Amino acid sequence: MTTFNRSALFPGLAAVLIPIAIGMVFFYSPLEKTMGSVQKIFYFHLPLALTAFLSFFVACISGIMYLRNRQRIWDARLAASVEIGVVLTTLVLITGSLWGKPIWNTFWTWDPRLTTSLILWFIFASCLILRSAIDEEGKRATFSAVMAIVGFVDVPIVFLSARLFRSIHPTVIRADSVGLETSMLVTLLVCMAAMLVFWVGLYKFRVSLFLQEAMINDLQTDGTKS
Amino acid sequence: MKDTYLVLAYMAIWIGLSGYVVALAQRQRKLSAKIEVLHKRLRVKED
Repeated sequence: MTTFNRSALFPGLAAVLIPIAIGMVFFYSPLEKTMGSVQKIFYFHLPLALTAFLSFFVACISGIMYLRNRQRIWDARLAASVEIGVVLTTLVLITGSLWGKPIWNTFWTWDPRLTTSLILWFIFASCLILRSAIDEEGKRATFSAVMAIVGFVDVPIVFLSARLFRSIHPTVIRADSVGLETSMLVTLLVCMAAMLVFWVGLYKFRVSLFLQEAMINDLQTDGTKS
Repeated sequence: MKDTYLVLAYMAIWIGLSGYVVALAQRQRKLSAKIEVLHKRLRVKED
């Protein structure tokens, strides 16, 4: 009898959903009238941004929980989510620039949405640098917890920047409606589901890797002491 | 011309994400090697 491997659930689901999502982007969703084919970047640009926000939200919650409980698991969750969040934000900035060039005729402009996103990237990238610079586990976890909590303040600013300030960045999800045709919306939702499942798989893998590394380090330190 | 940016963006996304997963897999492999060394050391100690 074959046993069901629970750890393979999310990576397996992602392996199914991602090709479906890419297929829908290129073969199901219609071509946008003004922007043409380049608009198809949007179907992964937005899910990447939303999963990056989710990462930083998890990092913030983990930071709060670490400061309350001082348990290693919360530091592992924080480290994993910050690292994944930085990778995703990097991809958001790259895809945004590649979308901006043919549409705005520039790779970069100091628009509020773009600027606040770059600041977000800098905050959490510096959190990663800070983590690699401190050897003492308790200090490293405390400092990065504080940084993740403070850094999360920028997430709602990024989200609201295109709504509150004069911005050239489009806002698709509005308070009263979603500015997309049904087939485009369905494609976007499938892409979001695929990215979310991928994120969960990646997050679980990174947390377990972090904990294993910490345990091995403990064993090595104990070994050298005795 | 617009298609070039679309291709570049999708390449960036999937090379970026798969590169990150590969980097994590490498770390996992290094960790397995460390566990093997520790296990060997423990067996020598026990003997």
